[in-house]
Amino acid sequence: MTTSEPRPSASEGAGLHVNGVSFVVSGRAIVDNVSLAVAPGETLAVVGPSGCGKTTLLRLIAGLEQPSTGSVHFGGEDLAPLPVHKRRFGMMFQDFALFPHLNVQQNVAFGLRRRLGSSARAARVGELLDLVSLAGFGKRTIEALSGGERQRVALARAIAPEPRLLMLDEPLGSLDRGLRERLLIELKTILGRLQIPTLYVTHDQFEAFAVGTNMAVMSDGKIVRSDTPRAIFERPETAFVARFLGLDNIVAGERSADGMVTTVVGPRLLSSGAIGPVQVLLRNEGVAVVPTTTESALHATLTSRLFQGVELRVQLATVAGPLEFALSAGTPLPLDGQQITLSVPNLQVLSNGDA
Amino acid sequence: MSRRGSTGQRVAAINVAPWALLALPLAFVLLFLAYPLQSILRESLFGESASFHDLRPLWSDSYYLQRLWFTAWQAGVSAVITLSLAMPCAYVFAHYDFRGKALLLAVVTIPFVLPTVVVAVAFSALLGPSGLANSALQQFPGVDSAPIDLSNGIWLILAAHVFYNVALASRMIGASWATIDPRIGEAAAVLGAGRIERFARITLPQLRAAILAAGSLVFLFCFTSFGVILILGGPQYSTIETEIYRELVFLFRPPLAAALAMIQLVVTFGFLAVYSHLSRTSTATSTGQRSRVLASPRERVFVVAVIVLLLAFTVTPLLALAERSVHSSGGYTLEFYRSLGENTRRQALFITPIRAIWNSLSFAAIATTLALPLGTLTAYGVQKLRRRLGALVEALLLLPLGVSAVTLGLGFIITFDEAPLNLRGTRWLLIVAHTLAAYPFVARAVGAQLRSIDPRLREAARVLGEGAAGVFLRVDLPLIWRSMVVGAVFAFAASMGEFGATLLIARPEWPTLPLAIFRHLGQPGELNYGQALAMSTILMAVTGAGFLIIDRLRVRQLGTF
Repeated sequence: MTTSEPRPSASEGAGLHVNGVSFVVSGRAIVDNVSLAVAPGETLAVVGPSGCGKTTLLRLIAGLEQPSTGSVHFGGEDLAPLPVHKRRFGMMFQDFALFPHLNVQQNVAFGLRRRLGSSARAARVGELLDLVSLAGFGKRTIEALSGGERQRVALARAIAPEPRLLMLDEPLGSLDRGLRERLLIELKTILGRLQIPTLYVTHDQFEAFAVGTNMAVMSDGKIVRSDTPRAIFERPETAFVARFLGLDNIVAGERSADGMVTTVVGPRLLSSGAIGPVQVLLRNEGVAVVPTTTESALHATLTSRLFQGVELRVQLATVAGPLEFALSAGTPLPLDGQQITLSVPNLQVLSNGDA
Repeated sequence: MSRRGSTGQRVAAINVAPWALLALPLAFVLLFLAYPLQSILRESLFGESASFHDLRPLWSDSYYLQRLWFTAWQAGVSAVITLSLAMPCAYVFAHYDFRGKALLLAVVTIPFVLPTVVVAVAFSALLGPSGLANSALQQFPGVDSAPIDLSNGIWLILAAHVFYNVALASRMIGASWATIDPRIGEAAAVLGAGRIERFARITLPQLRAAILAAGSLVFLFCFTSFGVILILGGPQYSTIETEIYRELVFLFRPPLAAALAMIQLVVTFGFLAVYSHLSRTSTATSTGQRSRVLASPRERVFVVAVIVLLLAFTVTPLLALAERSVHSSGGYTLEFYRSLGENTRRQALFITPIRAIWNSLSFAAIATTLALPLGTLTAYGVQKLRRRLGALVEALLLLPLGVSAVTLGLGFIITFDEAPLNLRGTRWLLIVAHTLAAYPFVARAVGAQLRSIDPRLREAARVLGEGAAGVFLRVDLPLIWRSMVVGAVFAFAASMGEFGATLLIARPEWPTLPLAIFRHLGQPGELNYGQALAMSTILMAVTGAGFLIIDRLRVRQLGTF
């Protein structure tokens, strides 16, 4: 169910393979037995709440920290004896860590010194500044740049030396929302063009959905789930993952031996789950207002509504506690405080998981 | 680094015109510093007794050129040695946390505020002919005469200068080093830069301004160093500063002294301008890093080695001073302290050392009292001016830092011995000189703190209904009082230790402690030398105590200015 156990051929083949890596500081495992793989052309989005160990995981892969146990391989080669500066990885730091004493051009050219002559270097820098839409910004100082411009310089600097692996640590984290959405699309396009295996760390599940070809959810130093973004969203499997993805309508239920699960919306036949008390996710997909006489539906009191343009969010008081659903904007509703009944066709049994 | 917010802007929360705040400090500096300097210039060029004939030795005699060369040479060498010792110390201070770090920082900073006379005496107590090192070595069989002969040597001068400045330089560079975001180095490592390349391409460029600022400040201090050279150097190692004193006091050639003072002023102002420019550009750009606890045994060994080296340079002379002050040829004794209150020469007009201690304490108290409002007004006034103008006025008001003590004394003697302001032989002249030496410390300490106050705090207080006075009392004062205490301690120490100007303008009847020490050093006999050591130890204890107070307040910018 979780994929913490090492894959069979973990240390072979192209791309990055992290095998059972832990990082323990004064008895506490910041990163706890993590295994993952990123193949060329793939972008693995690592998501989790802040403090779950995502950044430390990147630092371990980069070689900025040494794992307490486990190993990191790239292209079949064990990276343990290789110091940071020999790994040929690219990394974009949180808040970018641009060199304050160098201008844009010099920042981007920093990693090229050993690789290229000065004219080839200048050409490559120009090419990269074009790629991140910063042509003509070469001579500017870092101080003179806006947050979004700094983000692009940091990206250009990271990919300039043609790294074997790209790591992005909250690359959009410090930017405001509108800018974030625009840059997200740009970033995805650029990553798609580069085809470098990429690790993308973020606390924002929507960023992860948008960028990742694969996704790993981290909690307390462990990877609790990894799959494609779509699969994870469709089957969160544990309450932790569901809540982290913003799927909060989780109610208590009881599963009998014949597979019938009884919840606030009545009995349903659900295939998975143990017998006894279970947690059940009421998914939003297909939810509709139905006549109050309907059997096997959610009977609730409408407490408030929030008009959000395309959709209308309704908050309900039910015997299972407060729930919230998104309906299409034109749905006719009773007044606040009155009874409402919703049909909830999509139910999933969740396991408690480790988290 | 990415978000600087609006903290850089100035907001006039208190609507007092800056010039009203600056009027008093400006008048003080113009009258007691600019005016005397102008008198020196006039005296050197068109003094009544002066003609070009009097100044001829300056260019006809290669002696003065040699003095100028030697002055610059010893300052340059002192600065280079100081910086090379300060770099590893700065690294350790900026990157590691260990038990006793705060205390260590306070202890190694004590030399910086010690009176020059005390430093000279301390080095003589450590390395002089009857110093601790020699008498310890003489315990060994086969060693008869003093094996270390550094008396009147260049090495003694350089060692004293390094001793003086190494903590200051370490702190300046360390403060800058601590603000370098460690991720910037990590970013360079990921981009393929090894350890040496990272140091050369990332660390050094970012520390450049701090290193040069520290270097030019150390150079400046050593260029105008007086007590150390006068006491440890002897005649063959005289610098411009001691030469001015010699021309004036022994050769009675004020025009020549004034001309030398002008030459020295040009050099010191040049370095002061460089320093002031650099210290403005070396302000940190990124968020501070957390210092680490010692992890590997290699780090442990490195840090311990650096600390031992630093302590060897800074603390041994102080210990030697204290030890020698209770040691006579007959063994350990408190005789030198006991006799401080006695008229040991049985002269009617003899001033006991106790009296000198009292003089020093009262002068320092008055000077500090005057320096506090002057310095605070300066800090506020300068902050309210527009950027360039503010920098200019600040430079003018901090001139006392760059004018050598002997030059100041010379200016006072030339200027204030006739109407309209005849202060000759009054205590006021001394108090003014000490206040001039003291108040820039208050201005710098308070100014640094003021700059770090987010102007939005004052705006918030205004919005919440506080008037100008309320904002000052409830926002500013709680935030700056610590820095005022720091400034006051520096000011007190500066006054206690003032030597050069005092030597020229004090009357024999009211000597200060440094003067009394100097005179006792010039007298023959064990008792006189012992009493000089005892008084130096007392002076060291007083200034050291002030610094422990500062350390208790946990003010970050200690030692920067």
